[in-house]
Amino acid sequence: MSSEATMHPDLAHVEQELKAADLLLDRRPREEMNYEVMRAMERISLTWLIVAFFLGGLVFLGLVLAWGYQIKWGLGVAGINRPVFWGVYIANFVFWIGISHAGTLISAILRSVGAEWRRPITRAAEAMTVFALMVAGMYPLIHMGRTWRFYWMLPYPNQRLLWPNFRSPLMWDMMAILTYLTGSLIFLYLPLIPDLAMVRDHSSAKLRKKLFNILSLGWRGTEAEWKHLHVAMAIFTFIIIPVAASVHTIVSWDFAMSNVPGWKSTIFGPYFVVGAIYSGVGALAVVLVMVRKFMGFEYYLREQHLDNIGKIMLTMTFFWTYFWFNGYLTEWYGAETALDFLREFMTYTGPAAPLFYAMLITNIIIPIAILWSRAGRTTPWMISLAGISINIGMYLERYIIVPVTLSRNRFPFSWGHYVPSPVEILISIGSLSMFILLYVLLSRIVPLISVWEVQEGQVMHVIRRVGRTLVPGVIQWHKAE
Amino acid sequence: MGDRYLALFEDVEHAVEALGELRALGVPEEDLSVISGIPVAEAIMGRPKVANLMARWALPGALLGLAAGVFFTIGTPLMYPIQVGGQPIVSLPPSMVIIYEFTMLGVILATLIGLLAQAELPRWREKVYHPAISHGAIGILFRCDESCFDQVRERLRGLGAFELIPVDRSES
Repeated sequence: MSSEATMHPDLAHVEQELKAADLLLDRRPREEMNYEVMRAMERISLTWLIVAFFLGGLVFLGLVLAWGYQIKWGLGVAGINRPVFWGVYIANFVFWIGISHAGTLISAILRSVGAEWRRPITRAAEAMTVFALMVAGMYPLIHMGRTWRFYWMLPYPNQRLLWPNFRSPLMWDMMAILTYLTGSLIFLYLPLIPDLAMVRDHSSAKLRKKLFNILSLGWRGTEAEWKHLHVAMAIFTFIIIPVAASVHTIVSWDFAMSNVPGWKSTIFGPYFVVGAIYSGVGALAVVLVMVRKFMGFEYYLREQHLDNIGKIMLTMTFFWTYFWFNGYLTEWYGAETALDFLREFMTYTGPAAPLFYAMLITNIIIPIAILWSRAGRTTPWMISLAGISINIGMYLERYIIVPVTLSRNRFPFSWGHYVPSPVEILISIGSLSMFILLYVLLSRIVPLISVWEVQEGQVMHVIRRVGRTLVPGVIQWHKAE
Repeated sequence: MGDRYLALFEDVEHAVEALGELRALGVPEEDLSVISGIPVAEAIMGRPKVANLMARWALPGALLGLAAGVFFTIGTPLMYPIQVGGQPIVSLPPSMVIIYEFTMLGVILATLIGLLAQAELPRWREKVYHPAISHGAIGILFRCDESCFDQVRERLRGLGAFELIPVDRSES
């Protein structure tokens, strides 16, 4: 490859350009990559400690003090009241389930279609899913009020011979989240094993070595280990996609199975799945930019990755707009009185109109304006801005679906107005901080870049001379028969 | 039978040549194995295919999950019937969701168990290994007696083996 470039000096420039554009063509020794990723893991700076303690403080404030206060005094300290019995806790639950979708689902889709550029981003994405699910899983417990009764949801034959009702959509939720969390944890863990072994091999501290030996299950990289890991990942890839789709569909059924105006909709299932992927990809873009900047992974996370994530975000913007407008227009055409009340409340000059228009601006106008151009997609702060905008918009969408919709119903005498209480706001901040804190801690525990997958990709990618120029090619040696 | 040795190579090509050399010296295929830092297809190394039996784990897992789903959604209401105003004790459409999730959970758990069983993990005490492998080296583990090793040593060095380690049989 390089010898050809040496023979033709003009082509050396082409080769450099190809390498700069694609991580998988820009090969580095494995040893160098290992140490670079391990150094980033082991670096605990003062800034890192300040950030970790600050986030820990917010988690304590929100999830220990505020939640503890609610447990002591009851759900009355939250802003929910008749007719709005579902407030920000449920909006947060839906939001975090949505965030969880980008990681495992996007990773599985990219793996299934053999998108080679995915290699350095999958782990950061999969970790996002696990943490988002952990945060989401807390909200039904918070919303229960009497959290200590959570085990009533679990299937056990109690003294009254009263089993949980498995046909309730709330029970569907629990099973779907349990299945997705289990699958996502394993999906994150399996490709991590060879990298945990790498950390084990090159750690000098005895305790660390022992810990990583346990975590890596004594992995050595034998033919049988690689073969079965490969097949298991292939099975997981195709199993996790329908599971992910089922999770958010079931979350949408929490609403759509009711008779509430604004909730009863046949399009809610796919609309929620699209919205979940949309917010998840937005969050993934922000996470990748942060990981790239603060862990010094500019070599691994390049313009090509931001550009591709940006293209997925742009496509999802159109999908979400289409689904949203589809739902809006059919309901508007139906001219049901209760829905007219709801529309007046949240559009035109209604009290909730600022939320509605802010949702449209942050979900449609800002992302399209930024992501339309390559410069917008490949500039880290711009794609982050688009990701943050999408997540603000998607949060507003969930807020509109939950408490705003419940504020107006078929009976004007039972209309209400919901304002989140300080306890609800503090718990929400605490859970957001928990998500970020878990990520910050993970970055110092496991390699956030799948080094072996990057090396595998680099081994398979070559630069070949075709005619008068050099072109990139892929040798699919893992498919050798 | 003989002692086991681990030879380390920097690249696949030299490792493939070394495997050929070992075969030529009479080391049987079952006494050879390859350890690597990235997956290398058996065909590239000229090695026999590793049997893939993962589907045999996933399918029973799916069936077990399905059975668990049916038990919870149909079995338990029949065991402990609670009459609610004219509603049926057993209803299939809402049960399908739980049955589906249990089936998927069954596949997920069975695949994990299958992977651990097939790849013989965890193996925390296994010592036949070298940290250079996770830096990208290819290891060839082979078994041969002392006279054979004397012949092999020079040839493997000539083929670029940068480490040739005798493996203590009691540890393996």
